Amino acid sequence: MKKRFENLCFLLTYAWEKCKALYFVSLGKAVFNSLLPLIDIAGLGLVVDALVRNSPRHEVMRLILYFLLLNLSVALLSQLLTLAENIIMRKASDITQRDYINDSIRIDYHYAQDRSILDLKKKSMGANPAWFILSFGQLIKCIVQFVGIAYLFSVISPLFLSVLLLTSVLSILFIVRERRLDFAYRNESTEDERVMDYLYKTMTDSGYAKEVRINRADSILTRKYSERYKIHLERKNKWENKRAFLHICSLILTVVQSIAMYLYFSHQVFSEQIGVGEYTVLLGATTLLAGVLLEFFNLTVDNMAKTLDFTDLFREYQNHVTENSKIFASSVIPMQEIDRENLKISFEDVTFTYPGSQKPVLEHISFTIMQGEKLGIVGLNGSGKTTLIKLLCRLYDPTQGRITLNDIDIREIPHDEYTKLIGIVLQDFCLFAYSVRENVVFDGHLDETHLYESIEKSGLSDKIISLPNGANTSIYKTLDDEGIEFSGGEGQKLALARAIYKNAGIMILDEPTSALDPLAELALFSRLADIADGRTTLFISHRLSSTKFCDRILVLSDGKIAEIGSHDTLMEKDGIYADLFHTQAKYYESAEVKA
Amino acid sequence: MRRKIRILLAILRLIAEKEPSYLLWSLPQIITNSALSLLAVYVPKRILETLTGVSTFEKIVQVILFYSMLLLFLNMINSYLSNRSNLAAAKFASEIRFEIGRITMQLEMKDIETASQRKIIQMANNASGLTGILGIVRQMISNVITIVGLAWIAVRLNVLFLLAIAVVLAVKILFSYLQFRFNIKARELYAKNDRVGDYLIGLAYFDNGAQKELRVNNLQGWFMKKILLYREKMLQLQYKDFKRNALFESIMAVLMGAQSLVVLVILADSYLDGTITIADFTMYFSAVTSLTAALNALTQQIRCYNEQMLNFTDYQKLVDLLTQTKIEATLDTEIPTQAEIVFDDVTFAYPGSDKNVLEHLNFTIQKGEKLMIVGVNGSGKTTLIKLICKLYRPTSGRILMNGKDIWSIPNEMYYRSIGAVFQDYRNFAFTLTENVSFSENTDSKRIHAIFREIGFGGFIDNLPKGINTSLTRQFASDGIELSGGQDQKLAIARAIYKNAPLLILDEPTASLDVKAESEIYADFGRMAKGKTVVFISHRMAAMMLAEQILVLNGGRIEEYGSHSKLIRNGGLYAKMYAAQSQEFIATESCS
Repeated sequence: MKKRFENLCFLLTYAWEKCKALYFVSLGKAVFNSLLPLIDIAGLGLVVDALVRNSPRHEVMRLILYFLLLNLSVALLSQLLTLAENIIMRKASDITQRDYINDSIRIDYHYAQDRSILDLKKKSMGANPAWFILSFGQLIKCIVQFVGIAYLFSVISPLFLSVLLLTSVLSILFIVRERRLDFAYRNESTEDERVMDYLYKTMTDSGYAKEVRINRADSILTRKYSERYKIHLERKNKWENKRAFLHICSLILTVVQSIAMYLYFSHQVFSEQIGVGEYTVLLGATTLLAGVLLEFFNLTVDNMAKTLDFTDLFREYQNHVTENSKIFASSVIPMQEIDRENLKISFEDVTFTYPGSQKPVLEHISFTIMQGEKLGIVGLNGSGKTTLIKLLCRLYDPTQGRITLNDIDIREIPHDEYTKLIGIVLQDFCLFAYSVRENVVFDGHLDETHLYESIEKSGLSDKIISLPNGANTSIYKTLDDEGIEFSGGEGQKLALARAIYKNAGIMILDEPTSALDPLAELALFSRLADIADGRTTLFISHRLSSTKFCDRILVLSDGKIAEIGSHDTLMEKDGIYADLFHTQAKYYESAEVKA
Repeated sequence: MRRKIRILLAILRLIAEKEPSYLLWSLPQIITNSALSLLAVYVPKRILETLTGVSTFEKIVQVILFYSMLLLFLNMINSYLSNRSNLAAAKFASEIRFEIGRITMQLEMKDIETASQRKIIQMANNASGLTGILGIVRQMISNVITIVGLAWIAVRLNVLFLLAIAVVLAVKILFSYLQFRFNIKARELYAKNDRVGDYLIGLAYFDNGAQKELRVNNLQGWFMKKILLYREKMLQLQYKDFKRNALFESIMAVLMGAQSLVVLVILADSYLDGTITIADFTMYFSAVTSLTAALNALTQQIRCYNEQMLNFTDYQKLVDLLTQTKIEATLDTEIPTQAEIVFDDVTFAYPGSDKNVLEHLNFTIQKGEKLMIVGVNGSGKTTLIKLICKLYRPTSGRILMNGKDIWSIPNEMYYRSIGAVFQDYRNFAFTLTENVSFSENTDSKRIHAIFREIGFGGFIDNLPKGINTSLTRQFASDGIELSGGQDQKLAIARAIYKNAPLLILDEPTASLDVKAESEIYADFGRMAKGKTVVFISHRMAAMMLAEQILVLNGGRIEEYGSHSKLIRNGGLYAKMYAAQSQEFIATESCS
């Protein structure tokens, strides 16, 4: 119970933050809406009464006119308020949706696709603050109507009111039960929906299209969808059946109620304790009351209780997000003075294990990179190369040890400032379905000259010049029918241009030429000095011919530093590096090369 | 009008096909609903009549009990029918979504890729509300019955009633029609905007690469601006809707008020004249109110009906795309054990583009041959592969497999002859086993063997669940993420497992390290014995595997021959080879 109350306070405050105006508008609308049916009942009753009492014609007509005019004005006002309410509600839920997306792009990378958080989010969407206020408004409306009806009854037949209330309480029990079922059902079905959403995406998204067709992924996708669908259906069946049973019980109760009502009122009329006019009013009021009680518990309390329950999940979701958004959250710590011309990176006894995993991926990594140094990083797949880079980019924080920049722990540098210091070409870089220009500059300061310089340095000039729309051309056809598809190599060059444009103090290239042809690759390597431009550069590559261009090479093996030194030093050492080098070189040695 | 009926029949057929029980549960509700509506007007009058007439209280009790039981009975049946038909409707909705997925998987690439085509897939989603149409038809019929009944009651008193009702109805219909027109336009705009939203949300939640880019480049602000734009556009569209609705509703309120005035005045006069009793007064008033409500509902239903029809035509468009695609393949063919590919004067430009990506390609890949395709970026290598994979149709010329035009071979047959790994391959969030075999029946022994051959064995052994480990944490909390190279190995395993006569590899070792790459090439000769292998690679080392090399430049064949022959030629190939090898050779000769 205490928890419910806590949730209530949370929801009310949260709603106040997000959509203050809705409080007032909903209240106003509730009051006016509640009056309408009351006016109808009372008005009609008065007219009938006037007729039966044989009032003069002009009086009856006047009564009718007043009644209708009142009705109309209230209706129009109500319309206006409904419009306002709709607009504000839309706005409020819009803010909520935006918040969800905001969360998803700021949460620590590891949790960006975390299943439990995604589930929580989906379930918690039931805790919509705008809905809550709307339901609150409906609550007020029901209360006003109830008071009005009680007044009408008290004038004519107070005893019956208590009988009616009693039977209504029983209805409530059914409704509460139904709500509990609904909540449980929704909880269970979230996972079903998520699976089916994913499968639907793989079936219809163009990225998966080739696998689906050529490698016949269609049968497995179809099978998985059917399986999950069957489960989902069984679940739904079960719930619907329970719900249906409850409904029938409610129905019976309602009928018993109306029989009692008719008998009682008829008896009153029969024994001439009330007139026909009053009879009409009582009938109308009883019907309305049944409706009000139904609405009160079925919709209003139901919605509010539902929302409160989902609020639990929502708060849990918010907690998870806050806990796991620490990296981005460090955007608010004060900036320290960093000499951008003189950057020194140090890994100080860094060990890293992925959250939820047992085995460390990096162990006791210690090394230093000085300003302007070109460091190559090599190692077999799974040796931890990309993980090391992820740590440097602060996609993750080390489990032990620390990484420093000019002797400052990078966790103490504001995140957004830190990212400005690094330009990176990821292995799985992403091109966005916008223009070439936007893919490089985004919403940063646009310097056309620098833009073309960056494109030139990355080797993409020819391609861009050949496009009719130049740098305004969209990539992919997702959002623009005239967009074009970039080949793998062209995409990689664009990602490189992006990193160059940033003009960051540190450049990181993770396999920057894996998709380039040999001529383009050689061109890139010879431009490397130009691209690096005196910057500190980290360079992961499998092509050992390229690491030759580096000042030093770091060799990782099984998460530890195996060797470190210049190409010549390591070749002399004849260790892992030399072995890797020979493995690659032998293909070229064994072939005939006529000079 | 005839078209509307045709569409209705088509919808009925579709529902009957996918979820016939819906019809069973839904149609009887016509009777129960109409009966309930009419009784709601009649019963109070009957009771009041009995009351004001000369009766004993017993008679009154009888009447009350009789009608209450009748109402209860009807309500219970209605509730049961409603519950069943709701379930059936939900089933239908899921079925349609599933169907859309199935259809999309069979469409040609060109139909999926362009933005406008994707709009069709999106709009077809609205078709899941098609059971709504039946619901509406059902309601319309019961409404009509109710209306006829009530009108008969009303008109017996005064024809003016009908006039008053008719005027209000006419305006209501006009508004409904206007709403409908607005809605059609709005749908297009909504769908267009939704596509943007779906894309952005897909990036935020599902795309690993995008998630990294957003964080390392601090693009959250930029991204949120895009989201904001998308949502504001959506809100604008909706606000327009709201305002228009409010205006319409207000005008209707005024008209309704006028109507009530006319009716009440007439009724009051009739009572004062002694033409009707007070019981009749309440009944007529109630009848007119119910009649107006029923007519309102009817116009609403007609509008919904029209909208749903649009949904159906959207769905139909999607189905039509499929029938276009499927017409081609007619020849029956067995899955060959070996594959020979011939390019017969093939030219190709992407749909919607003038520029030829490939021009007048003529060459043959022999059975069991290992062909490597090289060329500078953008020379058309991947496009050539896509053509072999029947993802696009040549603009002119033919491609033959074992003498048959591949476009005359049914897809199911043709694709069993191909195992492929693409540059932009995808792995799924399923188990490793499932990612390799894409089926239920898996030969685990063979999978283990393949994994070992491509150097994956050690890694698998370290996993607690072995080959039944799930990829990513989307569906299993103990799912794993693979590194780029491991990902690629998985895709390679998939292609090999298929045991098809033609293997297609587009940069199969781009993400692999030195050792892994060397292993793959070393094993390939063994793994691909007897198979025709076509691969694109930039690694000159791959030429160890190649028997023939095809060099593309600007969409044309520049050179063709074995490695030694092309080196002797001293052309483009020789240049590329020199570019890659020079560093290795130079160093080696130094040390």
